[in-house]
Amino acid sequence: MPENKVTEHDIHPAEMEVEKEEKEENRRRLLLLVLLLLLALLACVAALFVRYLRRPAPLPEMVPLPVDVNYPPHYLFSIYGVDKPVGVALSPEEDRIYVTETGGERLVKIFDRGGDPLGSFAPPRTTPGERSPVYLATDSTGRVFVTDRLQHTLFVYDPEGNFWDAILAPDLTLSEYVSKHTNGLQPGDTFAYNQFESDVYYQKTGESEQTLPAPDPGGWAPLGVRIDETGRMLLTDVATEGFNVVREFPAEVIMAPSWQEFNPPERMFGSYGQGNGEFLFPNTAVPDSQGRIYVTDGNNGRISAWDGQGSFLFNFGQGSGDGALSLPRGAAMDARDRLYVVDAVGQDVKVYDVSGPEPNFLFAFGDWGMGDGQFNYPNDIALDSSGRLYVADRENDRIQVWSY
Amino acid sequence: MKLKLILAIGLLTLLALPTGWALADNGPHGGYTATTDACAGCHRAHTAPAARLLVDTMPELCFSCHGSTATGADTNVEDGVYAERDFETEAPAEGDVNRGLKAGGFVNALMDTDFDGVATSVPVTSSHLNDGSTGTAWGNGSIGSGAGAANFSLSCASCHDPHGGASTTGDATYRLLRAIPIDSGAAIGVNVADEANKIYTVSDANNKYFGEGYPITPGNTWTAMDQQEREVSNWCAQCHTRYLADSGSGSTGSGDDIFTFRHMSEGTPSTCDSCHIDFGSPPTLRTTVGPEWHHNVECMTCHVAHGTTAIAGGYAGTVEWPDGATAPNGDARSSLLRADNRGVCQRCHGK
Ligand code: HEC
Ligand code: HEC
Ligand code: HEC
Ligand code: HEC
Ligand code: HEC
Ligand code: HEC
Repeated sequence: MPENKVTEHDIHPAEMEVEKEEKEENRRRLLLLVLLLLLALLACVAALFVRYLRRPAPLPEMVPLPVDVNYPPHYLFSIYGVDKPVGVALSPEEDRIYVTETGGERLVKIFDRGGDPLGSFAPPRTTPGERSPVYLATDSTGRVFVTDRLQHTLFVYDPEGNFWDAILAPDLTLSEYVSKHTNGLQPGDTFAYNQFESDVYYQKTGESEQTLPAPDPGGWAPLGVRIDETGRMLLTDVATEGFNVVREFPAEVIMAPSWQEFNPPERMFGSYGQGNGEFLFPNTAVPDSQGRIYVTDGNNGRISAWDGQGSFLFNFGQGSGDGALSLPRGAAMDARDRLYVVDAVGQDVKVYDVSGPEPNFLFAFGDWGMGDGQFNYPNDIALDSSGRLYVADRENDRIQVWSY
Repeated sequence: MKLKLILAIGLLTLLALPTGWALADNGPHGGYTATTDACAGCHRAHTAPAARLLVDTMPELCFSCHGSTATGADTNVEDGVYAERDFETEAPAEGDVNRGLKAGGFVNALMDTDFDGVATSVPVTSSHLNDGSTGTAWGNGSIGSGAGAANFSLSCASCHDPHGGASTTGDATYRLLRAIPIDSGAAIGVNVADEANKIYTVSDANNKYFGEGYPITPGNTWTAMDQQEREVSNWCAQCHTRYLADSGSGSTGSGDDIFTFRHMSEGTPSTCDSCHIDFGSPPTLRTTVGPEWHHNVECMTCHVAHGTTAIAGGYAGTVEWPDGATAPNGDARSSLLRADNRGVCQRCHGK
């Protein structure tokens, strides 16, 4: 018996038409969807492309620093428009780069992450020949601290570069000085300082400008400044003969909203000379995660290591061979306790692993020259958490941006 | 290869020296000991001896320490100021920071060039070249040889030997001055004796540069005639050969543009009567005598060594150069002088 098979022929042609139409419709819908998707994708790509174009930084380097890379970083791009830069620092959000210039107008310049200029600033009431901004650092609120070798002062600005206050001596701020001599300061009052004029200027709201004799400037010679995550400040002081110390300002003092009672507990270590625990022009001091402090001992051509109590531990980097330093200047520490030291005469950045009991030279990057990735008397370095490195390339008039 | 050899020999010699070998030369210049690697601050500290030689150019190297940031020295020669108090002369509680350097500055300087008792830090109007670029070494060469040596390349190391021990016998000299400046063509060499205490700044608290004594006696007088100041004149004259002139040789009829019309620039005057009517105390002086007449007349009486902020208006700004050139003129014709216009002349001669 033949089975009652339902074949195609059994289906009514009209039904088939409907099905066909449905299929067609589905296909069209799918096509539309695919088209729409494609369009969306295209838009996405276009948007990304535009973003990419507007931001010279390649995207991959946004990933956080790999946990155990021990290979040198690579050159990304340079920020021009700076005259003999010697110091570089980042805002707490790492979206701004602050640079000190020592040529031309001698300004502190602000750039965004892509290298576009955002502004510039300098100590009020000074001319270029009267100021010499060198190293700088930011605190967690974004305030910018700039040492000035001619003014013998640590100037403090808000993140936009508006003058905020000045630390004139280890136990004296400008606001404190003016306040003491003028029956207190009110919000809105302004003040300024110029060592060359030996005058302090102040203007109380609604009154005309007045001057005060400047306090004695010779108490110290602040040079390198670094502020760690806790807000603690490490400052090198190169006042000659008998000084040459690292000073430590506790976080409470630095972070305080007002500095009109500035009298931080004195804590300093080191002295002038070539022996152990002595410095010749210490340039910067940076802490590691274990509380040790590393000082670039410039004219002694070495790094000097200290424990958290201010006791001398050891020196390294002196002599010849791999990792030997010529003229160490600015330094930075990354999250893995790798110490980056800018060697001005060595014309490179030398990197040491200081996480163990003994420092370990890892690698150096850069060489002398004027091309991409080459240095001409570099002086300072700043690191961000995405693996970017900013190097002040003094005689090439630029900030070089490197990345992992 | 040759350099390698020289370096190897240099290093060996230095290492062979006893640790106690110390020159009076300051900072990283000389006084090397075997225990510290004093070469590294200027030569690259790599393994290969050849790589240790500096690729480095001047003055960038020198400015890494002596520049406006003064990150490795207290003598800031760009701004012509000393970043510290002069501890040698002044108790730490006295004196001011940023006193003017004796040599002036290369970019800015802090000089009272109009004697009003005030100095402000402003850009220099004239200075010696220092970056290896070229100019005419005025008066270089013998009488009748023209305006001087053209295309003379000048850098810090033309005048200074960064290694110290720069005298003809290897002893320390004043400010590391080379006994024979590079390319000067001089044969014998002039050793300017080093000073015992390093005093880099002018003695006047208002940074008045005229009347600065050498080496240390402020207001150096004829009677305290200073040998060192004389030596510096002879030293400058190794490059500027024909600017050196003894007393009374003001107008020598030699036919040489430079030699013929130049001021006495070496030593004491031939006759005291130029200024004195008598020698009582106080002495009676001629009415033509200026306020600071009692000084030696040496190169450093009228000039600074690095650069000046003096202005040159009117006549002073238009004086022809020895080769007849009329540019640079105006303030740029200030010729490293210690005072505006012809202020240096008036200080001794009055008006
Ligand atoms: C303050 C910087 C400085 C220091 C420190 C220094 N040098 Fe030099 N050196 C220079 C400069 C600049 C030159 C090139 C100009 C010159 O010839 O003087 C040079 C040139 C040389 C040369 C080439 C030959 C020559 O004389 O022109 C040798 C060799 C040399 N140095 C060896 C040494 C040794 C060895 C040391 C350490 C004991 C040392 N230098 C320390 C700056 C320095
Ligand atoms: C190594 C050779 C050399 C020595 C040493 C030297 N000079 Fe010169 N000097 C030059 C040359 C080259 C120029 C021209 C280029 C320039 O202006 O620097 C010059 C220019 C000058 C000028 C004119 C500056 C101007 O306005 O352009 C004066 C003034 C002068 N020298 C004075 C001195 C005095 C004073 C000394 C001693 C302290 C001295 N020189 C030592 C090479 C030398
Ligand atoms: C034309 C020669 C010449 C040139 C070029 C020259 N100097 Fe000098 N320098 C001198 C003389 C001379 C003195 C001593 C000046 C004095 O005592 O008045 C001196 C003094 C100094 C001092 C001591 C500071 C002082 O004023 O006493 C330093 C530091 C110095 N020079 C560094 C440099 C550097 C760095 C360069 C290059 C950027 C340089 N010099 C270029 C001749 C020169
Ligand atoms: C590593 C830092 C460093 C470098 C690089 C350096 N100097 Fe010095 N120099 C010093 C120090 C420190 C002193 C001591 C005086 C002071 O603190 O300024 C000094 C002193 C001097 C003096 C005065 C010497 C005296 O008789 O007292 C002269 C001149 C001088 N340097 C010239 C030079 C020249 C030229 C160069 C470049 C070839 C140079 N320096 C490079 C650090 C340096
Ligand atoms: C009495 C002051 C005085 C003395 C001393 C002096 N000069 Fe001059 N010098 C001047 C004046 C002023 C000028 C400006 C040009 C002019 O008027 O000739 C000058 C200009 C120069 C120039 C620039 C070229 C020129 O001729 O204009 C040189 C180079 C120079 N002097 C070198 C020296 C040297 C080297 C010595 C020491 C041997 C010396 N001077 C001593 C006052 C002096
Ligand atoms: C430091 C003091 C001093 C200064 C500065 C000085 N003179 Fe003289 N001048 C003298 C003395 C001293 C004599 C006497 C010279 C002699 O005995 O040969 C003299 C002599 C002269 C003479 C006579 C001719 C001669 O050479 O014997 C003239 C002209 C002259 N000076 C012009 C000037 C001019 C122009 C200047 C500025 C460029 C100047 N003086 C700067 C001290 C000075």
